[in-house]
Amino acid sequence: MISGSHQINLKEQTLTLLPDKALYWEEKNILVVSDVHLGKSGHFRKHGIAVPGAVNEVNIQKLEELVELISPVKIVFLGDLFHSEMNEEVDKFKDWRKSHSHIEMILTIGNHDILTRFEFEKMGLECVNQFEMDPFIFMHDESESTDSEFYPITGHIHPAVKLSTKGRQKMHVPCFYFGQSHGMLPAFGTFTGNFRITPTKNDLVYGVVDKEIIDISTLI
Amino acid sequence: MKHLSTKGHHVIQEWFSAKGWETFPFQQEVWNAFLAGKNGILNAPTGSGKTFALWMPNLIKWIDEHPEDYQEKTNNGLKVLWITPLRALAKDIQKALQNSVDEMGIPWEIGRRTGDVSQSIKKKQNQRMPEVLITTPESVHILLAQKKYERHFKNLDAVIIDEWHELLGSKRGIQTELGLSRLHGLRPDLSVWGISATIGNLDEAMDVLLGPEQDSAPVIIKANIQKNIQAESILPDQMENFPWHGHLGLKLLPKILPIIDESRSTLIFTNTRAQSEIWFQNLLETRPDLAGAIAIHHGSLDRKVRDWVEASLHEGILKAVVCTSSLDLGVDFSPVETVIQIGSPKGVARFMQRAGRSGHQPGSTSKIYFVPTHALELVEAAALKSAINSEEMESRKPILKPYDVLIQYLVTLAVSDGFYPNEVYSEIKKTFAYQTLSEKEWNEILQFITQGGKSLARYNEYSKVEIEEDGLYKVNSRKLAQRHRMSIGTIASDAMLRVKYMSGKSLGVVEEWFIAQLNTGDSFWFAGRNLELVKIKDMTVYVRRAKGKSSKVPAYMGGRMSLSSNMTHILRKKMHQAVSGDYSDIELKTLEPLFEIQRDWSTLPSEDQFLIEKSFSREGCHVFIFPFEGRYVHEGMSALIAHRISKMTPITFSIAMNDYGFELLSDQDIPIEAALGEDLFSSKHLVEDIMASINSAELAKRRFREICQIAGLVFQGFPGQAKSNKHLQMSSSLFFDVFMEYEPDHLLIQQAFDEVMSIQLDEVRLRKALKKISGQEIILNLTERFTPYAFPIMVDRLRGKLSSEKLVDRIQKMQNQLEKHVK
Repeated sequence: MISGSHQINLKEQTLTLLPDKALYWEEKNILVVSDVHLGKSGHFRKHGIAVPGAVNEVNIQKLEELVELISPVKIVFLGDLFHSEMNEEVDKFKDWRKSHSHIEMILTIGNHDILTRFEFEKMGLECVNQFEMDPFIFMHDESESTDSEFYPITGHIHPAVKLSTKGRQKMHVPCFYFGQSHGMLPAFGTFTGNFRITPTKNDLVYGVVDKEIIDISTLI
Repeated sequence: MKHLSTKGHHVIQEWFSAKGWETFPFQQEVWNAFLAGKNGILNAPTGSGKTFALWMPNLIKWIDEHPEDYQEKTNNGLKVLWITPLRALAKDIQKALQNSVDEMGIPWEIGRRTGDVSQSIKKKQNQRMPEVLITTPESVHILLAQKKYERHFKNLDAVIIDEWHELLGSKRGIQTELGLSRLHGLRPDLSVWGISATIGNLDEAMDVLLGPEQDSAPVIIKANIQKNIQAESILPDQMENFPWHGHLGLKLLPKILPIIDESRSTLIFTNTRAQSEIWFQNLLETRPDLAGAIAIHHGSLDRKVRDWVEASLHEGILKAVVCTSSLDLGVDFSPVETVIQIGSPKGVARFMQRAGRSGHQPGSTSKIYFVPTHALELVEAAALKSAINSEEMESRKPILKPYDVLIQYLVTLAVSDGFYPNEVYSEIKKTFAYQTLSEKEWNEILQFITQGGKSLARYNEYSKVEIEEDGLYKVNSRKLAQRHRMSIGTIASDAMLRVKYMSGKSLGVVEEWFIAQLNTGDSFWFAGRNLELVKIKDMTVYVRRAKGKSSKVPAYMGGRMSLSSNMTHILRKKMHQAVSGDYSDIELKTLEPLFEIQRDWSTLPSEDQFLIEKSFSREGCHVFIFPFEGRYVHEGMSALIAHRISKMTPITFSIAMNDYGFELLSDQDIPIEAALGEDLFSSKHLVEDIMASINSAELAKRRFREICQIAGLVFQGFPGQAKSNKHLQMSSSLFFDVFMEYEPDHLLIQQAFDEVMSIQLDEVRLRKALKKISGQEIILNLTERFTPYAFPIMVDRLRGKLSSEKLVDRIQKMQNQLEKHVK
């Protein structure tokens, strides 16, 4: 078991929620990662906005560490893998992809993924709108229509929740969310914001706090 | 007065005589100093003839230089730049100056160049500059961002900075300093004069304006015009029913109705835009017959709406206007006979400034009423009344070395004609703000604008300012240049949405986050109207008139003001006067029952006592500390105290404060008794302790918002414009987190923390306050109920947070609490 991680059982499958904000599906040996936004810092820099360039390297470093730790057969990127057009950071990702040619990598296209399918395929990413594997269907945005009877696991909104308590303390925590109709992963990328969601009763919510996953369903 | 012999003097004197005016001695003094080639500051209030004091010597000079053909020569290029902080003032000055030259037959054109002047006029000016340009600090920089801007200034003789006290101590003041440094570079013999109201540090104000190195001794000329101000407090009939806390003051609304009725025209000043909307709404509901005779005025309303209100005030057709600091400055409203101030004005100078908006005719008396919003504010009222007579004015402390403004300025020069670093460096070193800027800092700033940070190979994708072969620093991308020109300025703002009727008429702007809480069909109160949200499209909120009542009033972000140090000083004096039993002020007399309750339940601290109260409630453990030093000092002191206690035991606090004191609240017992034994209020390790508190990062994050915008990291876009730059938008707080993680020694991060210490927490004042406490007897009372001193702090909603517990532990604790609750 990876330190700080948390195992849950969903649709009779074993899912490990990782403190690096990724999900591991044990039975199929699949790593699921959402909203990396690679190249975002480069995109900003190209337009004269000086974000530290190190941000991108950290993203690829984190991916590399996970792959070494888990050795998945497959990685599913739930969209918004790249923030925008081609730039150097995309090149760095290509190199990394090449060094793991034995792993199958699938990208469910997101709204920020504006490269052509051809370009994605060329760098060794299988490119789909949705990826089905019983009992789940993986995609970027849950609001996209689907006829599938499988449970959607999505990214896109970078979910976070607000916790408040006695003494009027409040904090924002990025989270994994599994509700009645669908599940959501937090954004993997470092240079990404959060969007506050308001879960309802019976939803399962797991916060990512200080490199640890904590069940916070009861606090909401 | 002498020196009246030249032709120039003669013409001006004749013009004055023809008008039936006399020249004041101070005006002549300014003329002489100006014509003798001196620079300086004129200390004079509005409506005293200050404009002509600095305008006439320019004309005298012109006439004396061209005694034969001063009435013929046209096309003379820009001679005088008149900088004002408020564009509303620009029109009036333009009119006054234009009239004078017209009547003297001098063919000068007086132009205006501010944000609200049309593009076509600006284009005409670019081809041919008028002889005089009235403008704002921002517009000067926008001129400097133009290609071949130097040509505009080759005939420039003088720059006058009006209302300099308003600019001093702000980043707009720094912008003014930088603009002047460039103009000085182009025109070394430039005359520079400032006009300032009375402030506590006039000498320093002059040093900042003119720079630390002056060739000839500059002068300060005082107009010495006294203004009579009559201040009166509105007192509640029964103290028992008057609230101990609050900030709206509506309880006393019935009492101001007769004042409005009896006065020809009244200005009602509130401290926030939301408060002005609420007061306007309530006035109308209480007195429907005033509809059409009263209006509202604040900074978020559409320019046209505001112009209409101002013009109507001027003509005397409005009975009352509810306003904010938006009407602190500006044109004369002669019909205004009375001013009402709702809640604390936070400083003596602001109170007097507002009072001065009434009784504008020379020699007449200004009348101001103070409406307290909660009981203790009556002490402030008493203090203000005493201060008016003593004329103790606040100082405006200049800001030093803000990197963000310098970065913006350098990019401004780079988007126009480019700059050579050596040239600009020697210019800015002559400004007050950047006199201590080291070469190392300068180089880091240059690296920031050219490479986006410290030089490393991986940064080569960065593009902004490029270095040409001959060493010229230049922005070549048109897109970048355009974006920069649109974001010149130092006033940070939230993303704003324009509010429009379906028919297209614009009402003003509101913060995006406010609208985000509303749904289509919801109604809200804005611009004195009840509106229904129809749809949101392209950064515009479309609305229609709503029926019925609505409760929502846009709240606006922005830090709350603190009492000035001057104000806290006189406030404490009044407090102690009451403690010693002197209730000669009517306000203190009215408060006597409240003071008695405070004495019964806790202690009424005297001058050499320092009060701390501790109590428990369902919320947890409360500790109230009362330094009476103003919000800013309390912000720093509370972070300091919380941090020092949290070093003794893992604990999480939430912190609230007002101008009188602050509260620490925790879900566990706060060991204040033990902490007091450990030199809790020592000023040793002050900076380290504050910096170590988590709060300092939170505060720095808040400062970083403005820094980000000024330095061009965050581009706001404009109301009513499509979000074309959405892909380049990121919140300043995310920028802050990323910089803190990857480049914690970044210039702008440093600046944010420096600003926390020097501006936000006002380190100097904080040290003084701690020193005072060390000489006082500390009284710790365990109270059963929240006392009159504590109560207003407790209900204050602006809370900070400080914790020495790990986040994980805190959540675990929350879970435990929850389980206990369930069991």
